[in-house]
Amino acid sequence: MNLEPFFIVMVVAILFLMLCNLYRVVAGPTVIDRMLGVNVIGIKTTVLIVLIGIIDGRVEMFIDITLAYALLNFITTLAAARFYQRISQPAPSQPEESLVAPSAGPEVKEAKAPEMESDAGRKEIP
Amino acid sequence: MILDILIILMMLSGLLFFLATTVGIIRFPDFYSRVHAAGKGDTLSTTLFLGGAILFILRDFSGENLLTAGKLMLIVFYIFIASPTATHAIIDAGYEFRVPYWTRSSGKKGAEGDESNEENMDNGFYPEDLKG
Repeated sequence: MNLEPFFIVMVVAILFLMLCNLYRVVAGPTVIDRMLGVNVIGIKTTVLIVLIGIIDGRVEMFIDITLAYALLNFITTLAAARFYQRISQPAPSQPEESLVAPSAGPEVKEAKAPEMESDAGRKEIP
Repeated sequence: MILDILIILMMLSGLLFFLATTVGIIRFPDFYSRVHAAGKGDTLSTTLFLGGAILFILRDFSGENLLTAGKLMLIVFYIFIASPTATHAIIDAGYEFRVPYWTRSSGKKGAEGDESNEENMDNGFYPEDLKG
């Protein structure tokens, strides 16, 4: 029983569903809706790559691409989610001592120092 | 022959769940309900599709095909963990982002993303409409 036409039909159907999902990415009312649509399209793409590999006859090569794509999709979604989570919260006025890692201590002080100098420079100009 | 029918059945059911996910993402009125549709349907349908692919690869059995099927099982296991985690991260970001939620009154007032919907943003998370 030759299953290749069935796989081609499946690939076309998944592509059509991805196109329908693209509506939510384009017309989503908020940014988070667009992120959700992109995540769903990425998950569908992993299935799509495996099916294309089966049709092509070289699954063992396409499997590695699929694994990398799944990892990349997950990391991208997590990074975007954390970014918008941080952007929505008000920034703390003064970072507490306990929140700063011990290894990051000198860098924080160095980052603060130029601001002080620039403020002092502004005051001296007039 | 029986294996072929099983492969076709698994892939068709996976396509059905993909279709349900897409319809839910397009049709639901609210961000939170959209995440509900996307998180469940995608995980199960991906598992069904890749399970069908594993059965198809193992149809002619050899050592190399066994390795490929093992890699596919790793992908299935990874997606089964990563997809709900990503969904949880998205919905957490949306909750912190104060995405307006759908209530019965906001559904009557206008369409999704309407400006009348933004009145709900600063209320508590459970409005009075949902209690009654």
